[in-house]
Amino acid sequence: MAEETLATILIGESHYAAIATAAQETLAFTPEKRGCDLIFFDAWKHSLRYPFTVETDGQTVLNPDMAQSISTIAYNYDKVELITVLGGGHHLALTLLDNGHPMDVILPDRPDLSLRDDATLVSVDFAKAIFLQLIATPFTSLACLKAAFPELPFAQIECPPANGDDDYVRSHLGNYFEANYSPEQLDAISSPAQRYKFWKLQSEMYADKCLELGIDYMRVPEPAISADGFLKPEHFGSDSTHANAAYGRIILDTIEARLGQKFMAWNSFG
Amino acid sequence: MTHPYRNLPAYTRWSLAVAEPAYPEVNPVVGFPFKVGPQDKVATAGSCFAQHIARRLKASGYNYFVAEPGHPLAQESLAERYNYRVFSARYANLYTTRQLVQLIERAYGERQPLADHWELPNGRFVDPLRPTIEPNGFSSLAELEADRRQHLASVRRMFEELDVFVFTLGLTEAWVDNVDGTVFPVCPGVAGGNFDPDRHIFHNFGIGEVVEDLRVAIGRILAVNPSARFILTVSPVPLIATAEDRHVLVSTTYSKSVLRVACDEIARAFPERVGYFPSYEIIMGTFNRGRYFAPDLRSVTEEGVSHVMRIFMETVSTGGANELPPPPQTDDVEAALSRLEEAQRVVCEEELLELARKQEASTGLN
Repeated sequence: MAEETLATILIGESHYAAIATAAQETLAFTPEKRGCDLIFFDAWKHSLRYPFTVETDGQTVLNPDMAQSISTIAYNYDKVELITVLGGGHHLALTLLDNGHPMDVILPDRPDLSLRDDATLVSVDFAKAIFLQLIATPFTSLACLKAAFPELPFAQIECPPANGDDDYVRSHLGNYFEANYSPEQLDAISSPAQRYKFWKLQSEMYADKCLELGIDYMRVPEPAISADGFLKPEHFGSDSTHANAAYGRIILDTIEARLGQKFMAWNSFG
Repeated sequence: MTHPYRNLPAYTRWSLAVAEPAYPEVNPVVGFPFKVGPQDKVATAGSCFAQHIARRLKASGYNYFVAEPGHPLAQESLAERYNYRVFSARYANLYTTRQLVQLIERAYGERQPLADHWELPNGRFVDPLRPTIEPNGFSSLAELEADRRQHLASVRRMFEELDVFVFTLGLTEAWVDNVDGTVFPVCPGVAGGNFDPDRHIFHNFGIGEVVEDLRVAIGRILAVNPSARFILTVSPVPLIATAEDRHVLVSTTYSKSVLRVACDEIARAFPERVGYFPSYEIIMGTFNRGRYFAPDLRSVTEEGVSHVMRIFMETVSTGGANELPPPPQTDDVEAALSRLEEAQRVVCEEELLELARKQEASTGLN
């Protein structure tokens, strides 16, 4: 009896890139032959402005084009798994550079982490409420995906841990910040403790949201995290925000463990 | 025949000043000792009625001084939900004059209440002197303690930098820790903590105590800010309940009477520094025939607050334009959030450019 075909659909914004790159480097590209395949959404084609949700009759729903693509894939495979890497960069948008109003928190399980003297201390609840102003969109996308495909196994992957290396962060801020911020601002990056804390807060918010929506939440696996909770240097990406393909491969391994089988090939859509 | 009443101004005559004018025209302010200009940093504290004054000052374009604004990325409604920007610092309601004195003492390290924290059934923590300041309680004791340190630093800054301090006196009844005399804003057990009848004592402050508290508070503030001026008002909001074994109307009249007399004594004692502003009279005066209370006979209506603030602006403010930049508005916060989102999008898009290049190379497609 032929083995069941399984499509793992990966949908994300920028953090899916590490996983997709790892897939391209370690899997075959076979658009026709089906097996256990990773099929990712080509967010890069839409300059990260792809509307995952649309308003229809006063309701917010999954973009019909996305829904159709997923349905088409589902039609062509025996089983489908949905994996998302939505959002993820907002903790850095809030804290990476000193925007004149540094913010800091005390994590209840890590009161030992240093506090910036010049930061406004806010409660974790208040910080999360401020955060929510930024991450409402990916939360809505998760909800709409789940609503459109309630029966599909669905997991959101935790975004990569923060980069704890100040020198690396300073020297890899990227063109946008370098073009729009003064040298003083570029030098005034957040502290590693701040970057860790806000990554953790954001992760908690995603975990809570996924629990609420009935979506599994896949934490970053241990091999990808340093002893003090940061992204390992060997996994640093080309900028201070993202991880590289080696990290992506670890995530692929984690997904394969969840599936109980190895990927054979990759493909993309969108 | 002549007598002292013959040539007194119209405002001294009830018929001319209260009974005959249309109710919106009644203005009980005569000769306020100083003016408040748009450049003056005006701080507020006091009972819940003080929140109305704060809100209207903010909206009026005057320099409402907030020393503890939270974070600028929080929109106004969010900040207020967490009790930021409701008053000039995040102390919540200060109902009694003793609380004001003790706030000053705590800010300058002279009082460390034994009731340091209360633990909620859900494992979170509250500050006994600000039990509802954090909507769901603080997530850890460390968070509570750090927030309190930051708060008290903001209180110091507020007292040291303000130009005008508006204090609304609310109550004379309070619950006191009989071990160290700390006055709680809310009876222990109501919003956290456990009521201990042996430790938590009811006290109804008398006129001598309230006057002395105001003298001490004003003296302490002037010691760190010699140019500060003070506006005292009495909240017209009745007691929601009295702990005295008597009718709540009787207790309310007692409390408001004590507070009103205390304001008069202090205004007379500091004639150039302290002005009494008659919010109480405007709301309670019979001339308005009860219009300024909602059906619950406790909540002051917007019409009443408007009358109070209109008289304030006409008689206490200089009426000049505010040249200071306005406080952050919702649009500013949204613009800041949009910039952050755009920055993140651009950085993330750059990440994808490399993926696109590799993908096209892998698939032979371009």
